[in-house]
Amino acid sequence: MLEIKDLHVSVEGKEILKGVSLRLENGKVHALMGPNGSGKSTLANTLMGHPKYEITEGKIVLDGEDITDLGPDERAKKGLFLSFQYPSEISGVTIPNFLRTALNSITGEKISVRDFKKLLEEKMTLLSMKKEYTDRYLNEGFSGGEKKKAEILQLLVLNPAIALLDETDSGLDIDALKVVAQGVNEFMAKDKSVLIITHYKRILEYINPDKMFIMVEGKIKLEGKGDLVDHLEEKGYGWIEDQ
Amino acid sequence: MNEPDWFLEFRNRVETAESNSPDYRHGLSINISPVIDPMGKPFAKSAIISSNEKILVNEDVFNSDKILEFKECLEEISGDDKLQNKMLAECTDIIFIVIPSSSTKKIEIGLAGAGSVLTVILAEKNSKAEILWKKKDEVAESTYIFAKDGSSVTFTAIQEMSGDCLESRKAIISNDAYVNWANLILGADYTRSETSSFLNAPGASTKNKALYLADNDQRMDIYTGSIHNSSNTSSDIVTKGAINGKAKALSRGLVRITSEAPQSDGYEKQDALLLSDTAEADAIPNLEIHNHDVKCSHGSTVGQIDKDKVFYLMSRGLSEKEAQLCIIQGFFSPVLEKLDDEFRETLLVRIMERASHEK
Ligand SMILES: Nc1ncnc2c1ncn2[C@@H]1O[C@H](COP(=O)(O)OP(=O)(O)OP(=O)(O)O)[C@@H](O)[C@H]1O
Ligand SMILES: [Mg+2]
Repeated sequence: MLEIKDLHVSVEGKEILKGVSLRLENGKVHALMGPNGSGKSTLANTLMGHPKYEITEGKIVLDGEDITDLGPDERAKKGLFLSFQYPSEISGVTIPNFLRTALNSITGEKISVRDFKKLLEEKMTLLSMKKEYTDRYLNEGFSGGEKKKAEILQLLVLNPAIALLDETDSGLDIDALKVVAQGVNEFMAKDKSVLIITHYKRILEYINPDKMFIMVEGKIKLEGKGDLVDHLEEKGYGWIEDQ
Repeated sequence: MNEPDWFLEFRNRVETAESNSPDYRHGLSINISPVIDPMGKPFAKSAIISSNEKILVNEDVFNSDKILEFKECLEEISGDDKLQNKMLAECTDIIFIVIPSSSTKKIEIGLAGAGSVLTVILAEKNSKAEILWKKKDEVAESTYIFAKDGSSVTFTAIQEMSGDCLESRKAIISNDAYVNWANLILGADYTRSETSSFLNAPGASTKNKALYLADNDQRMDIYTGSIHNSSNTSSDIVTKGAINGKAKALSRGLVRITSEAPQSDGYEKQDALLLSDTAEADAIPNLEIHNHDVKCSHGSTVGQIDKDKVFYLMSRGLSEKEAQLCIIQGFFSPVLEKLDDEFRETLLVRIMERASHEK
């Protein structure tokens, strides 16, 4: 379980998160929605440990352990994963080479090339990804949707405990969205926890959230059950203010 | 052995040119006095020269039946810069390598010790040569490649020196001949490296790659040039370096296409990646085009390592060091593929050892 307690976060001296508290529970799907610029990506990046985001108050606790001061690599080893809204392009490293290195660092074991190939192929098939991807450099020249698929491929291969998906559904076509949702559901089957950050109801029709949070101006303004999205869809964010 | 008169004349000629040329100035504002033996000591054998194949060194050159060819090559050597002329005038050792017509050779040469070595490589018609060149200690180097009609020469150098590194390399390229330079600059406190290709006959072509890693207080001043003097010639320059610690690096490139060189292509690209906040780099490409019927392009970048990329990789479990390494390797990867295996390995190992060390 990941607990976020009264988190205040600044970027370049400007406070973006103004006291965020929430809990991500095992075996549950959580969704986070909110207007552009409300601080969703800031929260996701802060949880993953981006050095640019300065925590001025509050803490992050993973399964009882305070991880507020840990680096991103240590958080990854403890089971956190972030699917980026804007994944970086890394030239010179192919997906298989990179992912095997990453998997080895996370597990602290060396998976054989053969076993890894099998694992990768299995996950790529699940995501209907063409084999050609394995020859290409990580995200380099990938289309928006291809990058998002590659993020989910990494999620499935690295198999963390908690996944933060920052607008993974944005930029996906109708079929790709289904495939990605299927991937996430496959991941969830094993008592994992996921936080889906999204602007659209659509992905939540494939992956039913147990819990919803609405962020406005750096604060969680509203939380509720999965059906909250229907009210939002109907009435817009203005409706939150009246609650 | 005594120096033949004609060689003394040669040294006097470049000596005079040296005193007449203006003082050398470069972008790093450092003064260096080259550590090379004084005039009057030719064949001092201060350099230690090793080779996997029999090559002509010092007396061998003068006693060989190729002496006429060697003299002919010297005629064509005209220094235009002070440091180069000084190195020639004060050379302590001579190497002469002849690749006979239509033959193929792979030669590995090691230079060490402290001296000034003049090397002439003559690739005769339709020959093919691969030269692997390794430098240690503190030798100064002037190297000339004469690539005759239809020949192809690959010259791959690796420099892991102590002290200062002074090197000046030139290729004079004839009809349909090709010279491929790859220079790996890793060592020396101060490096001044010049590599240029003179495309003097139709169909001549060249590639010129300079890769460098600088850290601590290293200073590197790297020049690469392509001089197109004839039609249908092509050139391609790539300079790439990673600079760490308090190191400074300057890379200058020049593509000159004269009015005699229609239908020629010239490219140059220079990139520098800064790994620390205290590292400095400058990459200056120059184009001098005196002909309308040509294709040319140039570009340069100097940038910090992208912190978002480091974060991205770390979020997948890589340590900061591993993440940086991955990015540095990616930066070099476009030029790594075509590099000689041994050199590629060395570069990768050195990147691991040095480019990623703590600031
Ligand atoms: N590195 C940064 N420098 C300056 N401002 C930043 C930085 N990162 C985020 N911000 C600001 O913080 C605020 C929140 O940004 P954030 O990306 O977290 O929003 P978001 O909720 O993810 O928005 P969207 O739905 O558009 O993705 C914005 O006003 C943004 O401009
Ligand atoms: Mg966002």
